[in-house]
Amino acid sequence: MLESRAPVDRIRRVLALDRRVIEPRPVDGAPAWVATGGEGAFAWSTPAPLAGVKGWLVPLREAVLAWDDRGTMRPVVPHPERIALVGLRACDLAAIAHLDAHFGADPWYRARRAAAFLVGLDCPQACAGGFCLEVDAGPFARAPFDLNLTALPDGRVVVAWGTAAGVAALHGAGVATAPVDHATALLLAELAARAAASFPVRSYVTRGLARMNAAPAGRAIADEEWQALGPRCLACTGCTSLCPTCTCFTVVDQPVGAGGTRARVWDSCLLEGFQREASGHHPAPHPGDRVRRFWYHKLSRDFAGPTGRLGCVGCGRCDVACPGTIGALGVLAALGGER
Amino acid sequence: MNPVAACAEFAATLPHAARIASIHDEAEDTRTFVLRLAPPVPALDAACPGQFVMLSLLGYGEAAFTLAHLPRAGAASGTVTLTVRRVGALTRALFACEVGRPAGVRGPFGRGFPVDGADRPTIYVAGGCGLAPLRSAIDGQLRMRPAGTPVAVLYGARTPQSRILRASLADWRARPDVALFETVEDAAPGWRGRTGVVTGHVAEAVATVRAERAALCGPPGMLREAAAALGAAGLPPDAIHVALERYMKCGTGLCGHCYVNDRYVCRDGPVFSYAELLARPDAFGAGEAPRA
Repeated sequence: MLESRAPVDRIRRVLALDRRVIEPRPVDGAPAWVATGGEGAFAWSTPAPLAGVKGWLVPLREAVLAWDDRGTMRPVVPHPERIALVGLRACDLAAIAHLDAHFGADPWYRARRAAAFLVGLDCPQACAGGFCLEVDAGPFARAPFDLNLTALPDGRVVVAWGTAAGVAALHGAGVATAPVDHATALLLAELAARAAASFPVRSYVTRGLARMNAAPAGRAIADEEWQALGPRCLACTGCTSLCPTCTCFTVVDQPVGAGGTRARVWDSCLLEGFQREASGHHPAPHPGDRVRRFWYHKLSRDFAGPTGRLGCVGCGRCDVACPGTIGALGVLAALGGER
Repeated sequence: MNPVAACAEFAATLPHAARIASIHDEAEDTRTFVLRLAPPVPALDAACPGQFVMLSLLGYGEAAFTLAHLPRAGAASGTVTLTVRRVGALTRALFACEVGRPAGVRGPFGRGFPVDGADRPTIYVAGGCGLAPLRSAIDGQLRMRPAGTPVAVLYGARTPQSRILRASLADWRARPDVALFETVEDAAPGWRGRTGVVTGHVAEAVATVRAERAALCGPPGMLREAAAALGAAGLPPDAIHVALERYMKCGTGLCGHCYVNDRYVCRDGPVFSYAELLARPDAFGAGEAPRA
């Protein structure tokens, strides 16, 4: 525990000595992830930016192979910049746990992940459109953070460490932490309860998740329901781009002169061509088929990884991004009989 | 991360360098390409029937192809045999290649057909190009089976001219210990074999060899009907093995393209038991659920 917020700024400045410190800051009135160099005071009350941090761990385009004019191939080994992402909300940390499980054996992901220092920040209350509580992803953070911060109303900060790197950062900044005493532990529990109580009651979320997870998987929901939702998806890929747990990619060759580069590029399962085969066979020919699969992947326990949590972390970004009405809450409302 | 170990980890993802060693016309728009890897890759030499590789043509990308012949079924060590139909951008580029052209091969990937059970009476059901992935399974069983173990091959093609692997077909036709059923949808004058789709001949072929298990490969519509017909002929779902195909970009369960409900064809398949597919309504495509 820290007696004030000041030591947090010292930690940020020390992290900035050998990392790029990236934090939420208001930019033109909207929160964004900004490289601050650890300068200034930490912006404690800046809401989570609409764009998450996925792009630092899984870049939009990742070159994986290059060839020269003689056709000799070599792997493109990334040299990721050392970064510190400071102020990650519970939903974004839950999403990184998901990425860790999915890409755990992938050397490109591992290199970028190893170069990232993660500082979590617990949410004292529900954000607009967030439903992390219902999907067990927040509002208080769990692994994988190096450090996690809980701001107490009296100005103190409870700091938790999740890795040896986190402990080393505290030591490096010369920050002494006091143990959490009994009274503070009670206060933390009360804050967690208050945060949980701040979420609006959305019984349709519970009903929608229950229908999605009724046995056999995904089939309690009639295909007609998905086909009715299908036309509401414009296949704009806004949701899949912003979704912090979306991992699908395509692979493209880009010849340059007599050589070239092979790269992974973010893809979206909501695009018509995602599964279309060269033979003409299409396993998901209708928009409703693709919408069904996307939400099945997000909301079914069939895809709960080692954390046991869903592929949806309840961040609500898809509801903001969707030019229609089929973000997560929109779909759960339809499945849960709300509209 | 140890830098040397890290580099090895990246290098391990590279395709193995290969060259096209031979090209053989099978039928209209279908050719068999034999690629040679120097030196041979032990994992590819040890590949099982039904496993696949990612074939790489620099500048055109990668695509998944099931191995059409295997060292364990008699192919030469250090060779990769692929029977390919010209249907897309990469296969068009491949058909423009000549012997000696460099290529890349990653793999083998996935779960193939069961390699045990050579002593059980078996029916192989193939449609069109689907005969290629089954060839090594068939030849493998013919090499390993106890004498007298009945084997049936039921092969359906669009026309007599579109049949592939005619040397293998001739070999099996000539053997008294293989029951070969050939059928075409559009018979040409002079065709003396069967006509119609394979489904109509499943019951007879099963009865002929008293088949206890089956392996299938072909277009999804044919797989769906043939698997149901095999079930109706009395084969239990867990004794029917079906090779699925999906568009793939990575082969290692990461890119997300080849999903079938909660499974990835690249990692969990491409060969699934029919019992597994009956629990997965999208096995043959949305709205085409497998039939019990």
